[in-house]
Amino acid sequence: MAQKIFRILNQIEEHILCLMVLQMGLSIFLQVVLRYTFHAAITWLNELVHIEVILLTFFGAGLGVKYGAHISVDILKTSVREPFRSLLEILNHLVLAVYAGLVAYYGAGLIKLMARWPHFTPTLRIPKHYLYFIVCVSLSLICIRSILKSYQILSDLLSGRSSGNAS
Amino acid sequence: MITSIVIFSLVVLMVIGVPLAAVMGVAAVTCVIMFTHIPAQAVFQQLYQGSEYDLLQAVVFFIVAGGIMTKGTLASRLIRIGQALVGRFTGGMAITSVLICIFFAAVSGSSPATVVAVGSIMIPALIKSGYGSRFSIGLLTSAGSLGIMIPPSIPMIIWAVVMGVSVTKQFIAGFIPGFILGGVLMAYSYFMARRNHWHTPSRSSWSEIKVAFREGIWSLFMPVLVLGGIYAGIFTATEAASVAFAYALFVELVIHRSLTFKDLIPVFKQSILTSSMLLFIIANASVLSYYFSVNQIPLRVADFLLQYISNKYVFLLLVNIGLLIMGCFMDIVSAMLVLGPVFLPLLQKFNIDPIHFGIIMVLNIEVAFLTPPFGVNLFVSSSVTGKGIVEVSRSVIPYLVLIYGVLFLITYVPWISLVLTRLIQ
Repeated sequence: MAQKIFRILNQIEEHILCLMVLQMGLSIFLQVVLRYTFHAAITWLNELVHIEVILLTFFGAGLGVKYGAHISVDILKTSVREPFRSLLEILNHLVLAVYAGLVAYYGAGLIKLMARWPHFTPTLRIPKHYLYFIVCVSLSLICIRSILKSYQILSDLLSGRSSGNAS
Repeated sequence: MITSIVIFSLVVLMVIGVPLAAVMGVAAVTCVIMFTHIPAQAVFQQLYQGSEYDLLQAVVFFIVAGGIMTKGTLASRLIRIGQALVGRFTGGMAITSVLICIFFAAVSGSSPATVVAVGSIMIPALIKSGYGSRFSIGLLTSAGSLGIMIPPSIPMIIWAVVMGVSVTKQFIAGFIPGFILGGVLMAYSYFMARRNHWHTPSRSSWSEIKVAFREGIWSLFMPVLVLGGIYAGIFTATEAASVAFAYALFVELVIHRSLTFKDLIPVFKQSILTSSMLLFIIANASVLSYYFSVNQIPLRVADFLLQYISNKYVFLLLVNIGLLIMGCFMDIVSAMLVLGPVFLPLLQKFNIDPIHFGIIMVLNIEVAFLTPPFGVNLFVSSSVTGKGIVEVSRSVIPYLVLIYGVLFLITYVPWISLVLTRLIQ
């Protein structure tokens, strides 16, 4: 049951990101068209895309953990045998988890501070700490996914299967 | 003492395979906590700001546009035009392949995408018409790397973000070096085809040429639109990327009907992964360079290096050798992100234009894409052709020598990279 919910949530996340990228590209294109046909511009649209790139960066990084897409030096990983390879993988994911968790924690501190003296984005007037909060959530997602991934590799290792690429 | 422990542990983290983004981030966090009095919250803020550059939108759009074109039929239509025009000459097909790589490079900013799009069609075609298999694989694997030399180019956008130079100028600086490299590859193809008598005349009739043009006209128009738009001042590089994106979508979905909306989902997913991995590394690298600038590391590195290097030419030589070695071990775009800001004072001291240096960097990235054991193009080509990685690596060696020759020419003749940038002051 829990797994099913996770899978649905994952699917939703991926599809939202896909739609977001489509919307981002078409929005900027629309700005160009508007400028040359109506000499007009939708100012808040640029800011929206500006924010969406930030979301894409961090939520995409979370997906990257799931698909093992993060760029790393794999000279050692490819040259050692099992079980050392799996152990290295687990270690790598744990380092990433600790790092992402730590930065999310720092972010939480910053958000508390900023909530007292809110800053706003120029045109959409979104409080900046709301955005920080979303980035914080996505960093926590990276952290959680890395821990889940290392747990999965560990259980695969213990049950004797080779590490798969499912998540 | 503490510094060396920190550096040592980072190298260990990198070698055991921790994602490079996290290595940079861990480095930054550790250094900020240990060596400065800045509150650690600054790390988070810097990470956020590192993903805030508007130019990074261009990276995303160009990657998605490249994905769409690779999946669609844009490349194969270009190939038909090339065949119809140059197919009749000695080595014509090989020369066509390089030309198409140049053309595809002028619409996409990625090197592996070029290998997939052009290589998967041209390698089998070349072998079928009698060219040596090693020659063919090597040619397309290395000509694919033109993708990042000829604008638009994703590494150039990143370089412009890191160094704060104009991306339009950085783009235009890539033209002549790209054409020189393409020319060298074409000359080599001609020479090899002559020597080995790979002469396969395939004369096309006028009507065939006309058909090829009619079917490929939309593909041909794309670089004109994207690059012409940037240089005519009609839109910025970011907007050009969105135009490329919208154009590729429109052409593949509506005109060519080679893709459906369902096909787009995997393309988008893959592009999102590729681009967000890059963006995440850039964000983390910006935290590290924030620490660097707070502690004036670049100036200190410059002072240290200046004790040993007094000459611009020696510096450039050492940079090239260093990047060649580094390219064998790690993702060189990440290296560029960290090294760029560190080198900035040195560039000023030696009076090297950052744009010229950017071109040197990009050529080094091309070399790194082609050097075993971790060259991306080698893997892509290996999966496209079904040949082993060793075989592919071996086939690339003569081309690596050629590219290195071009690299030295471009390193020591800054005029080649800079002459066009002076025109658009």
